[in-house]
Amino acid sequence: MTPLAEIKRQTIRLSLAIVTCFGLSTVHPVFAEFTVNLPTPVTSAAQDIQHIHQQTVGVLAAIWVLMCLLIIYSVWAHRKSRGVAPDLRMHQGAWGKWAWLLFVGIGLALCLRLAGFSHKTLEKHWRVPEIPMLEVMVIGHQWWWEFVYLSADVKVESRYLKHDDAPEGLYLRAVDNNFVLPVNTPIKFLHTSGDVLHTMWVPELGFKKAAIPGFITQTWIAGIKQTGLYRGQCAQMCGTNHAYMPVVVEAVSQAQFKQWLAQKTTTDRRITP
Amino acid sequence: MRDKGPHSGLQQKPTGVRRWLFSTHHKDIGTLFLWFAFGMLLLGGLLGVVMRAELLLPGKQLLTPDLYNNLITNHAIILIFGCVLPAAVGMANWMLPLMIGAANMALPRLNNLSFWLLPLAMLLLLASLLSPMVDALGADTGVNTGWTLYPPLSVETGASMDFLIFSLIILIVSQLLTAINILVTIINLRAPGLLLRSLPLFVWAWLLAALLLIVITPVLASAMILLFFDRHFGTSFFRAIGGGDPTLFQHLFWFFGHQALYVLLLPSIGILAAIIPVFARKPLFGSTASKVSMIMLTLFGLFTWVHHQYITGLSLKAVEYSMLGALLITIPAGLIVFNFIATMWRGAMTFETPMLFAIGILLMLTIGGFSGVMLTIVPINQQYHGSMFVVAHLHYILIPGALFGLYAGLFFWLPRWTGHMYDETLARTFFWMSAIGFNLTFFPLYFLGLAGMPRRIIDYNVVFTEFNLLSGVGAGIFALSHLLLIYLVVGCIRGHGKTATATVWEGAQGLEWTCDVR
Repeated sequence: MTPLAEIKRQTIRLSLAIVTCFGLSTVHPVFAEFTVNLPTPVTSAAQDIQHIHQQTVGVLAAIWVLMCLLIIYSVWAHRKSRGVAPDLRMHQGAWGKWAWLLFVGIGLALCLRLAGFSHKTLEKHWRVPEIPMLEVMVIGHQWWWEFVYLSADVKVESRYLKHDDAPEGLYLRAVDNNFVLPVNTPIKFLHTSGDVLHTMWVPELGFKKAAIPGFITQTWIAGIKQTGLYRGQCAQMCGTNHAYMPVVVEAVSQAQFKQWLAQKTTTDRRITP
Repeated sequence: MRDKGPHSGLQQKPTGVRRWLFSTHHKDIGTLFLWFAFGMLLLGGLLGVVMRAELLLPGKQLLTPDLYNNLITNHAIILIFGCVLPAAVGMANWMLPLMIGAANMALPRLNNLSFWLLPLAMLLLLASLLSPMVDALGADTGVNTGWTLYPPLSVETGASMDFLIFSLIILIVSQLLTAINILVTIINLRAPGLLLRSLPLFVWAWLLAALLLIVITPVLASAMILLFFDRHFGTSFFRAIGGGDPTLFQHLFWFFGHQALYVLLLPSIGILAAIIPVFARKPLFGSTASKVSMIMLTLFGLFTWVHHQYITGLSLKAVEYSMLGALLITIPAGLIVFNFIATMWRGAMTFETPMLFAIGILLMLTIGGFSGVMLTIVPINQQYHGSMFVVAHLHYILIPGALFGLYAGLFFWLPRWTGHMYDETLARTFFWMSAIGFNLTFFPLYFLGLAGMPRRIIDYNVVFTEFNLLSGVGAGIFALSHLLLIYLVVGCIRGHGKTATATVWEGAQGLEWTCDVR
């Protein structure tokens, strides 16, 4: 074998070896964290969102699989090595002339359908309704969160727990003071920032709006359906410690919330002029 | 020739440094752009590998938060402005005059300037990287905003942001000059009788991309200048206290940024339209429909940049209008893919490397496009925005769409440029290695985004470990495959392979295959 051919052979073997080694290195004993879907939603908005997500993924995945099958079939059947000649008259036939119309029609139908059910969900959840709600301000700072319960004039500052202080497995998802909220209560969130752009994101709750300094953006939920702890993070690049701003929503019963708020009113009152 | 006749003013063909520094020939300038892009590919890619190495496992292993944020910013800027666009321009410089039957680009000296502005811009970028280390320039975290440079964070950053602003302005000037040159060449220098509507798709793609560049780059330049004013001259374009609005910058940036993506994609579409008919031994299906689709992509996209900003507090009508516009763009894009598949259908295909890339692109770009459809839908965008889902989507568009398109063009035209065939077996190995590496790197990121991992973070909770580990492994494979690419390209240029025949590929048609090599 010529030296060059030998080098080629060795390079191909080396490449295969590299891919295999890397591949084997991914065999990992813990398989618990291969989740492929959004976390379980706890508000009706998040449930609607998950529903749209699943439907959309389903339709698009089906179209992609169909496309794959067509390409794989074509690659197998329409190969020169099978001795076929190219069909040069295909473009003049009926299919050649009108297939594009079918494609555009299906594409348009799909687009309108997607826009249609988004519209339904948006009508329900986008605009903040004028009903009495618990109002909470969410203020992003570099690099911590401030939650102000407007009716009781209570302020909570929430910072991440350092590696040694955080409970097992919760570093970067645990904070010193949780964002306590009552279940089954409509809540309006007023987002703003004290310095640069931030965004509070808790996947289970479903909404996301940017916190823009000097402006207030609003989101709302009809009610958190289940007590529990819901963990999220800051989702807008805000500087050095952007990775270190988790949010932990602690959803408690309405009675517990009243009690907690009353207690905070004595200890964590905002300084009002 | 140095005689005293009427052409005694003409010099002999320069060689050495003078040839490359002062070149006005489209092939030489094309080569300069391509080599520059290749260097930037390795640099920007290296930054990406370092980022993935940091994210391989939870914890901070290699970098500090500021350095990490700086890397993500420069990774994008170097690859988009320093690699993909110059590489596409390099191919345009090489092939456009050949395809339309012109002797050279219309404005040869402008062409030279367009290239030599690039190393200057890169020097300024280097200054931006190094400035945090110079105490005299004041406290500086380095540019840490991501390539989107949103204020107020970008107003706060130190001197490194100023260097970056000037670097970008020079890059913009270079692109604008290139775009003007290409537009003038295509409109004025076509061979007699070559109508606009008969032009190959690659030329059409560049006609539209050049028009787009002329429309959008001044908008980015103005955003940069307004940012500079806010930083140094006390203005408040992006500062609420003075009556401004940070989201104004976002609008300016994304008006540029969204169509910039089409500037990157259109040449790749043109390259695929050149490759697939050759290897399927069948003319392009629906070439008129494809040209109309490309025009629609160019025009519609100009009105739908807002889908990058759904969560900034816009009204319901604004987001729905934007969503509808972005959704409708899938129709021309999908039609182009459909036409490519229909070209393959009932052809007689062979699968040399350019064709392998073309087919791979069709499949992978569709995944990127579909995740784009998902992102476009406002309610679910609220979950995906700012998460790793977006990172996966954008890489599934940019890598198969822009980068692999360029690789396909590279292997398709290397024999034309050098006169030698590249090594087919090694090139196929490169295709498989880079495709496997790419998919392993970025597919897990979709799931990470759904699970709740934001983007642009240096460290993460242990719950995100498994997919990050898989992704890092893929990044290693993808990176190593490029060592093979270097060997392939250098080997081809040096002539290790067979001499290429006149038409190189069986069934290749078009003016560019009819003239002599070099």
